[in-house]
Amino acid sequence: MTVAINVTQVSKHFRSDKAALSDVSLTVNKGEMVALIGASGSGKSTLLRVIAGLLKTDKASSAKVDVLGKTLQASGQLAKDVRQQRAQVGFIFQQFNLVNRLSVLLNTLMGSLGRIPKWRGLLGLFYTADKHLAMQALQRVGMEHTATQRASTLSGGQQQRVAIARALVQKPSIVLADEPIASLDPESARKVMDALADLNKEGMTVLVSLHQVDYAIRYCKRTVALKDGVVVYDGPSSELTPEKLDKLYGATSASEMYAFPSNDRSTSVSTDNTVQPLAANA
Amino acid sequence: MTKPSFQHSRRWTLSWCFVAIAAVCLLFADIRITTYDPWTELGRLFSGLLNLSTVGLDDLGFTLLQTVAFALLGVTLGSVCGLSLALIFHWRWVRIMCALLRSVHEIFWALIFLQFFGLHPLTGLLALAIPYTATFAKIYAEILEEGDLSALNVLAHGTGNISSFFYARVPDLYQHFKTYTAYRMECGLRSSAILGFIGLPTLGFSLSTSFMEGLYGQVWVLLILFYVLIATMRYWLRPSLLPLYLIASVFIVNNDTELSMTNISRFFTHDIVPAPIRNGESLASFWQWLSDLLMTQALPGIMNTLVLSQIALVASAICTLLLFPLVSKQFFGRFPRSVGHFFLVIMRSTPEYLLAYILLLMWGPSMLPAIVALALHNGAIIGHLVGRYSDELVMRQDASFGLNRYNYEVLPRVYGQFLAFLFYRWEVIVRETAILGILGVATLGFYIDSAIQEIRIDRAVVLIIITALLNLAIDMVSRRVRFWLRVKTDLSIR
Ligand SMILES: Nc1ncnc2c1ncn2[C@@H]1O[C@H](COP(=O)(O)OP(=O)(O)OP(=O)(O)O)[C@@H](O)[C@H]1O
Ligand SMILES: [Mg+2]
Repeated sequence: MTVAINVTQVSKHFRSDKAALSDVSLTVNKGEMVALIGASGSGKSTLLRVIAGLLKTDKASSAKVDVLGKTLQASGQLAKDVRQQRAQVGFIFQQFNLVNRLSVLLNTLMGSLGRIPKWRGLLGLFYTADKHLAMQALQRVGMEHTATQRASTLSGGQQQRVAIARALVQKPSIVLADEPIASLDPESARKVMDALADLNKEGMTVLVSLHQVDYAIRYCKRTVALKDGVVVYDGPSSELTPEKLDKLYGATSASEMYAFPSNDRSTSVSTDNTVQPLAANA
Repeated sequence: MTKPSFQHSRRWTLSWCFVAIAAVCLLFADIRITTYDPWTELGRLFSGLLNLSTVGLDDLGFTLLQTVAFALLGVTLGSVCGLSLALIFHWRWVRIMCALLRSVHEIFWALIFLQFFGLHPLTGLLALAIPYTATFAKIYAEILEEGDLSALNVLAHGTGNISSFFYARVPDLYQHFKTYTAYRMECGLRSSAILGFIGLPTLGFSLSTSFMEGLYGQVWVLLILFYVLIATMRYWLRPSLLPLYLIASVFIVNNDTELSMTNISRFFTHDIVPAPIRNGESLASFWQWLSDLLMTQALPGIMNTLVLSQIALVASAICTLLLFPLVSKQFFGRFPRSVGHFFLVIMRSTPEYLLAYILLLMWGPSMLPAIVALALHNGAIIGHLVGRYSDELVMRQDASFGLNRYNYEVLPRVYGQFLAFLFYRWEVIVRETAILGILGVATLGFYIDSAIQEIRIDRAVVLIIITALLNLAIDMVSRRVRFWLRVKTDLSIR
């Protein structure tokens, strides 16, 4: 099995004593879909940004981030070709993914800007192949019918799906998603997670941070749990029982990590990624 | 089945409309460089920076003091009268009167007052105070209105009483008034300096003298002192010192010109009366006089003013779009930004009239100097505002860099605000275009100035009124356009 992401002994301080990440090590294999959970402020975004090369780690000599077998940053120093390496990583943020005034198609096509000549970008002369790719990507997330609409006309969940399409046009090998379903209603959240799961089924490596553990259990075989910048759990999502979470986070915090009331909770993982609607039995 | 295509927005359509209009205007515009060796002259101007000289500038201090004193008195008077009018601004006739007074440029006011006050300080004082009163009245009224709204909110929600409104709200309002008045004071300094070009003893007078004699070392001394004066304004202009300054100013601007009642009454009873009526000719000959004036002067003047201003508007837009990245955090680090800021502040502080004057000397008479001057000055002003607006934008962290960032991330997000700022300046650009005629481009100001030179005040007054009406019309259209685009401007630009 080949390694997609390898994080070794990474710590990160933001101008304060408290570590946003402390001594985090993590390996994600190609084709995995891994959930990253933890309460607000536990360091999920920080870790994802470090992996994407958007943020430098502390300068400790042992700290290292490898992506697809190449070193992206080491000892707080970004690799020289970080921009090229970044192109292999598609990033989906919680908000501000799209440019409201532009069309959905153009927003999607922006994923190709990194690899086409500057002057083509300036004049908006995208390659036909990229246009096809963009339409395909929109199709994959079920958004092709909105291609000519302005991005501002989409709902939050639709915007996230277009963001996934944009990331795809970048032709990445890895997709990182930072709380893509926070502030979405359950139905939209399900569609966004379905889109990510579909990608994963076709072989994409996906690392997705989630505020709520139910989605991790439903969609990802493996979960990494962070608490105050420390990895407190890394293993099968199925073993994350409410009791286990209580032990990791304390009863009050743990109870806040569920999107749905406790009688809906299912601890079984759908192994083949065919997912039942989350709240169908509510 | 045909796919629905992307609906272009109003701002897109509108932008191309204005570009098309400007392109058509270019066909009619007189754009060329007529001087024999324009770049050598420009080179000589800049080499003046290397040998700054105050020789022959024995009245340097006097000039600067006059400039500041006129600005202080004019703006203060305007501010006081403006505040009083703001309280009754809901009266329709007050609003109409203010719009009319505002639409006549301070230079035109000065040209009128020169006719009967001569070089008496009242000329400069009123030329500044009248249009500034009208502007202050409008903006103060808007500030008060916003204050009233929040007062109503306080009362409606029962979260406070009237006295708490006064304690909470008045300091806030005062801050708005102060900020805006300080901004206008900066404009006042520029206006006051420019009045020198038509004969008042302010900076423009010394500048034009030094220019005429080709003493560029002196020109730069004057300009640099002027920039320093504006840049340091917030240090020397303290509200607590204002009374002292005002008293001193009265003494500074005072001269021994006497007001002549005969001149004044002759102006109103004789000079401004249309010649045919003055000479007791028939009504028919008055119509002849009027239609002559309209056809041979007003109409070409209006055409040229519109042609030049539409080109200048689009040129300002292009300038803005090129300049704002220089001061935006989205594109540059601290040091390059401060260089950008320096350039923009210089361009902003240099009145377009002065810029046009300099360029005209270098390039000779045509529309080109006026267009470049208007584009640089307004581009710097709007560029500063757009740059500041772009600093606040939030975009995804892996957003692209450089040209792609400009094109795909920043521009779509700032464009609406940019158009709002630009169309707010539209009326200002038209007003300035008319004025630049005094420098020799055949806009309305040219015909007004010529009429005054020929002591045909009756014609000048009619042409000034026509100019004012044109400005009012543009103001109305621009308000329509901004409403149609659904864009809003904030206080900082008004
Ligand atoms: N740019 C920054 N400057 C200073 N501190 C930061 C910065 N970004 C994150 N932090 C701090 O680092 C810690 C981890 O933050 P991070 O955003 O990674 O958490 P998170 O798990 O993503 O939280 P959330 O669920 O709220 O998104 C927090 O204490 C946060 O305050
Ligand atoms: Mg986060």
